[in-house]
Amino acid sequence: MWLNINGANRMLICNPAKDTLADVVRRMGLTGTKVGCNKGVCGSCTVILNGKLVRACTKKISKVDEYSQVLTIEGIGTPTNLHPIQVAWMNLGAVQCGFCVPGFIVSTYALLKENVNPTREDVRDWFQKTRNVCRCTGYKQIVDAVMAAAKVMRGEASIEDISFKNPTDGEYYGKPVVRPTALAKVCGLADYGDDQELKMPAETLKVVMVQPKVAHHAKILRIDFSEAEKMPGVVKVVTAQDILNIGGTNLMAEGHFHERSKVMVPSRKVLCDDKIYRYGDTVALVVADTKDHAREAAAKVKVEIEKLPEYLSYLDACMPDAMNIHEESPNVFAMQPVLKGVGLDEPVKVAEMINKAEFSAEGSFFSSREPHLSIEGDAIQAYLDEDGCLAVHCKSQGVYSSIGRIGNSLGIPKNKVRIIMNPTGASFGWSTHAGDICLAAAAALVVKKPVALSMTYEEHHHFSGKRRPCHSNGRVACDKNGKLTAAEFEFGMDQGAYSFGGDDVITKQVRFAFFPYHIPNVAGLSRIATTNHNFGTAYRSYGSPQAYTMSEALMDMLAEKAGIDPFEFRWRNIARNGETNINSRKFRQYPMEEMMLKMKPFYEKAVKEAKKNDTPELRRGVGLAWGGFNVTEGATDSATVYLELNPDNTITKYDTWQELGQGGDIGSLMVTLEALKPLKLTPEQIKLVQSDTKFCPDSGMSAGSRSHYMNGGATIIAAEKLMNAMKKPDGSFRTYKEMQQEKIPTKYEGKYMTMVTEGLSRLDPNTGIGDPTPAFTYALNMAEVTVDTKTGKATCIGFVCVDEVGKVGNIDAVNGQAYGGISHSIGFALSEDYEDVTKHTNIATSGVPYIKDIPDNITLIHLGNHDANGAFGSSGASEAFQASGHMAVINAIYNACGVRIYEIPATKEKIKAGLDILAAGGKIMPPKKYFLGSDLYDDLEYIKANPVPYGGIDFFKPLGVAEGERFF
Amino acid sequence: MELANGLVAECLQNEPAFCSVECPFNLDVRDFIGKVQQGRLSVAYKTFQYAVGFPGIVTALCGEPCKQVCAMKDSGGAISMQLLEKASVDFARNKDPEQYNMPPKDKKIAIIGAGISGLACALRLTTKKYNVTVFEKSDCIGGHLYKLLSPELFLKDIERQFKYERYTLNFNTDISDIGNLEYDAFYVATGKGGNDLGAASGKDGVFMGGSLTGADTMYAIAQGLNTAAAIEKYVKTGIMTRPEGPSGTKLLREGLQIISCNTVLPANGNAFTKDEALAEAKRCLKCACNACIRYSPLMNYFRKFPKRIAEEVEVTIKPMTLDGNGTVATRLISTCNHCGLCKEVCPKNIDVGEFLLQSHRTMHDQGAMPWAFHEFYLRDMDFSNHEAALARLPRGYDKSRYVFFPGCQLGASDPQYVIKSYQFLIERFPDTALMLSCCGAPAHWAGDEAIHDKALAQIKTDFIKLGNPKAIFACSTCKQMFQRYLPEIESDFLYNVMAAKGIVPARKFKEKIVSVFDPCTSRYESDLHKTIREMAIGAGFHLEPLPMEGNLAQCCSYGGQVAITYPPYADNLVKTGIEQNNNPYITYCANCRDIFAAAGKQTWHILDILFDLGDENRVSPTVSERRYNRLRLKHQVIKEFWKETSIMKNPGKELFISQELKKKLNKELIIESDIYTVIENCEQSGRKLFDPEAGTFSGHIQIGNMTYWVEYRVKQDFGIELINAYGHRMKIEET
Repeated sequence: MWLNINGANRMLICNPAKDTLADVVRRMGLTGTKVGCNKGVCGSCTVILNGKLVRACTKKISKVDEYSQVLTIEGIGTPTNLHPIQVAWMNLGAVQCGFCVPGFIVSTYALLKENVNPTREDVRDWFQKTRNVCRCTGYKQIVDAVMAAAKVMRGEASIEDISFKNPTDGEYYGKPVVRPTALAKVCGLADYGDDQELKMPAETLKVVMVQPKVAHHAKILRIDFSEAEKMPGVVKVVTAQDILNIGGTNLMAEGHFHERSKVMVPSRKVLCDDKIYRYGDTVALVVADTKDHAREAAAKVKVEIEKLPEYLSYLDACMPDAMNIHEESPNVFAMQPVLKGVGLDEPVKVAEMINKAEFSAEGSFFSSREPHLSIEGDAIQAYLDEDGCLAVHCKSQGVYSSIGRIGNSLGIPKNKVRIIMNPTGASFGWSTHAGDICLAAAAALVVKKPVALSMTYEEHHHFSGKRRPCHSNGRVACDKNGKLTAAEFEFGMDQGAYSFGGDDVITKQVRFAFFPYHIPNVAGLSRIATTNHNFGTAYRSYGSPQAYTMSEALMDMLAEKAGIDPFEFRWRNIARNGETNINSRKFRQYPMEEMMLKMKPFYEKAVKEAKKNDTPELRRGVGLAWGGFNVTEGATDSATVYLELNPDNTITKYDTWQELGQGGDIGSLMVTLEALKPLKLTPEQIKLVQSDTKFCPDSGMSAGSRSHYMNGGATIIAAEKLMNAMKKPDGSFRTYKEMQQEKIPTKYEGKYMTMVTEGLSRLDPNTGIGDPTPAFTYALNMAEVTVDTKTGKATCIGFVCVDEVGKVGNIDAVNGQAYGGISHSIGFALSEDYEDVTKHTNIATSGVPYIKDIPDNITLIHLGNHDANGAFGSSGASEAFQASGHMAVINAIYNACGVRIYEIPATKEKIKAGLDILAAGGKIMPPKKYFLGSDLYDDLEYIKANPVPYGGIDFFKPLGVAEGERFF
Repeated sequence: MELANGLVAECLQNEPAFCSVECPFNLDVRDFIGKVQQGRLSVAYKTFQYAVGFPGIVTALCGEPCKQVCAMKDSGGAISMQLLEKASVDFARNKDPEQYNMPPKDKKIAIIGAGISGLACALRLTTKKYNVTVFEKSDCIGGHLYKLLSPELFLKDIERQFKYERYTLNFNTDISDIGNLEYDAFYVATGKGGNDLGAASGKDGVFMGGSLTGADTMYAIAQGLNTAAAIEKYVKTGIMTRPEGPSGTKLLREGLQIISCNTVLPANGNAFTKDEALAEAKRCLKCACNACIRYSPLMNYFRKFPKRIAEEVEVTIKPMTLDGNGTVATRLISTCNHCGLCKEVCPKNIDVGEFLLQSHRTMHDQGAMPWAFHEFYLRDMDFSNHEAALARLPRGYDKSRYVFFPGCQLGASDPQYVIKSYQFLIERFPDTALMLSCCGAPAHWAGDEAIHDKALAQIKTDFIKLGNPKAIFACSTCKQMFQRYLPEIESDFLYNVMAAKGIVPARKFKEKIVSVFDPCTSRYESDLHKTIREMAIGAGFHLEPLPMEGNLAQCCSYGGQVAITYPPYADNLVKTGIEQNNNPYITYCANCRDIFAAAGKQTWHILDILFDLGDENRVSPTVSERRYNRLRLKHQVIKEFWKETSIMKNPGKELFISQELKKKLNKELIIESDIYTVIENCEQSGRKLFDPEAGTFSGHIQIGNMTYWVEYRVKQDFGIELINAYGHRMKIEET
């Protein structure tokens, strides 16, 4: 058939029975049209068909008329001839991972065609109607970009007016320098995983996973491949046995992070052969000539199972008679206490203090299995490269750590594995796990051909890990002046089917509960249990939102009991200079007062507004939540980068600051510019080579708010070396040519280690005393919420975040993390969930926030004080923004309508049920205390009576003697 | 897990105690008693409560079948479990059950019969928030308990256990057919002679239990609880399984350490006070197999059973840690002394040491073992086998019947040990050859099979050269190594030969009380044990046995050369070794002698006594002196026995080292000859830095994998004064 695509008539050959419009344009190479959900709920495939916006992924080609006019992102502007919308997107922080960008830009193009002078609300209404989802930003930057582009299109501003201009004084740091990857992203020219697949050599085989999705827990009796193997085009059905045959263990590496962990042997198989431990487990891979053939054959694999009792929550798994999900270890497999003040003498004294206190509050809370909901799913390519290495193109939070996780599972030595990041449509943490990489790599190794594996969104959703759900019980007390005296708490975290990092995440709740207040006496415990639900993995703010779910609710509840305003109550209890956190150590910084003073006018105004606008139909309230997070992975963190002087006197920076949309590219550029400031370089003179383990040294993971801090530190070291080498006696710098003539090396390594910071230590596994981070980041959140009393629906209408992340490196990148974190927080509070595997199959049913779910009115205030340890005074700018924002929303709901939500998400049904009780004059009964495996004080006593040797700063030292000599 | 399969399969660590198997409720008695022993009666109560459902009723009616199998039965009386259970009930802080806040389940379960078995089933199911309905044909709950207990007692217990749980109870409802009842599962517990409602014929979803099946009261309750679990599995999976009974235990009574102790009787005749309960609980052995933890210094130090060790080793050899470096058990693998005690004390003879050796080899093959762990001693072995080596027939012989193989450490300790012994031998057997070299143990311990094979090949060549003589060993490690790797070579111990030839100790002691410390490699050499003791008695000593001697011999810490790998462990081992009693020791291993003496223990080598050499306080030589002694020995024997001139290479300039610095160098295993090499290199190459202020030079070179730094002063005419020296495990990239 013929279509007029981007202005030209083009002939295409297609299968009208199967092909969608997206299939067709993508096959033509127009891969700017992205397919995310493939269900028409995310909007990333939006194109204009005969002047109308359509979702190309669901538009059957058979329903498209011959010679229809199709406009895709490629038709809107090109790198050398950008459309104002594209310029605005690049320059106003609207590009993060960039996966949704083509859809948004096309959608904006249609909007501005209709109305070139829209209000912000018009823009928001438009994207709500077109259902364009962005998961990285808070939508605010997108509206900013539309408004700016409209201004240019109306002739009220020029392209230059909305573009970043290089400063003449060389002071780039902190400025909104445009991300290097933005240009390709706004033009639809960034090749994400699926785009790579389309562009691979013709002999590439396609891989489809056999994910039975029949049970959460079952014995596999028989897997029958015979029919599948006979299907057309099938090259091989890869099973666990094939992995064993190529010398692999089929077992993925898992960590052992905690002295109290009872899991020693990894349980996670690449391909399951004897048991299914969770719904998303995979038993085989079908490799075929085409994806359709592979899919058809995968459907023919018969998996015979015998169901086993499934434990889908911590509460089930921790019952005394629950069977061990993994035979070798008990379900509750690790715990970490925290004791302070009288708690260190005798834990139960804390309870006695609370019993006798003037005021106390108690409650039991639950936070959900929050899904990451990146719009791009999971697509991986694998082949043997020119050096005979297994090369895998993928999405990875840590290209080197992925190699570690593959471990010996595939029987290929570590130095023969090369991981390369594709342009990546966000992750927020799920790609810290290399399970997907193992699948594609196993197929490539077994069939010895290049392969491509692209999961459906649903497959990916069930396969990838989630945030760990958490039950908690807590009590907190204060004196008559509202000063906190003691707190006790216990957490029960649901690790899901595989122990992956579960014994690490328990150290977060016992650090961030009641952060950053000063409480003199504490008795707390965090426990983690295996269940049969999806496994817990990294997610921005890792392990801390679970803590704030308890502590920031209790702070409000106690303030109410003491008759003190929540702001004032917090003001009285924030830690002041020298006061200690619950780990009995000083905070690394004390910005708390300054932050509260900045927040005060916003709070007072919001309270006034809420009172003024509160109506019986639409209740309105204000909520606060303090929060924060650590920076770096702790005392043993390190990062390495290279800097090289090029023949044209530009600089190449090599690192693995993985760019997942958070700004690995721009972050790396900013620190390089700043570190090499004496060379007076412009951004264009720095070339980044990133995240390919063949060329780049290990800069560590893009996680733990560590990248800027660690990579910045390493860049400073490398830059000093390079500049020292370039420096002539007269203080000027040698050119490349001069360096060559004098035989001076032109490439330098910088390695930064947190060990240089004084006083770092891991948490003591017996007391929770310790100081595992060289810097903290802080965020004080305020949410304004309305509650519709008819439906129970809560809406966040305004949000203020005052933060301390040290000096801002790139304002757009930091804002991007802030807006993004806040939007995830709001989603976490109100809608997001992954619990019912039959319902929560895509981003929409899992509760992803659309534009109208996120307020346009978000205010960010960065304190921006110089951090003593961080590179250029910056610390880390990510996780603090998602740590506790959800509790500002939950507290605001209570403030608005008197309904306290103990178990998030705060769906409209839950709020409505509460409103109905209150309306009937009843009292909302809070959840009863959860049984988390045993009595808190029994466990604390037991731990006290049975201390484990403290393993020192190394994670991997179960032999456990701190003074044992370190060899490496 | 192929490497570890045997270990884990055979180990009895997780076998249940005898009593738990007999208990109708399979109460984890070890866990329960452990809590009582710690005085944590409230926690013990919770364990008991969950296991039995109705603690009040069970303590009243328990027939204590556990007493029949109690290991203390004939050693003061079986543990009074019933009284301890009662004590846990009496002294619990809070007798109420736990509140389980769980989401309600949508499955409906019917229980026919409100006797205690049906109620037990109801209790467990309601705890998990199943929707339970109980049908009772009479107008009261409790069934046959009315015949056994006062209603006040059992009704109160039942009420308490159901305090937080709800179920529907229908009295006066005689169910004769369940066909028309809409439930997901049934538990039929209609009592003795009751209607089984088809359950006996195996109807899906219909379970039966209690007195109906002939069970006594205790088993009736247990069946109710266990059937609840079976019902839960059934409603979750659709699979019907009968609750399983206890499967017995493989635990062996032989492994237990029983100390007789009389049972505690309650002073008031019927119930323990708290103190009485604790005293009675402390009698309990918590029967478990833990001989390895009790005896093996390694497993005791790390508190790790074979299974855990196997797991840690497994993930180390096949890296499965997140950083992929698999360092979990690297140190553990290298910390084994290979003394064989673990195998000796294990009732299943599990040989963890051999497992660790194999693992060590695997790690070595993978290049994953830190070279630093063994490099020093491999270099030392190389020294013994080259510069200090010798293999000679006595003058005038072209073959020999015997060869004296003193091993590398005897002469290192004191050359006179070797010289005097050889003198003794050659006087009795004039054709006795002498071989100074190493048996290969350091390479064996390092898991380095290539180096080991080379050493063994050299030994074989030398033996052929000497006419395949019988070896006479002074060191039990040498003998052990030969038996394992060169079994074709016949051998005996020097001391046995001496005894047979009627040696008379040159030195006499009057009634001095000492203990013989057997080297670990002499574990199975009972003749040798006897010989040494007779020699000691012959010298006038009075002997007191050590707790760990003969086949329980412990390593002095030298075995496996673990002191580099893990200094705190080695120190601990030395400490436990010398603190077995306060007597001076006599030993017959140069390493035991020198290590203990260095730690301040008066220790003789048996040769000290036989030839009147050093005394029990002789200062142990430093690592440098040990090397020097070996070299000295070689030259001396050549002079003395072969009457040849042999000149030791004279270092160019004399090196002055303070005592303080010598101690430091010894501790850090820095050999003076290496220092010399560095200084020579500095002086010859001129690659040295001068510090004009201190007037000292400094420089470094790499030897093996180590980089040695020295700081020294050249004294006019007086040689060189060493100011400081240290070694780094690093390489310097020279640019």
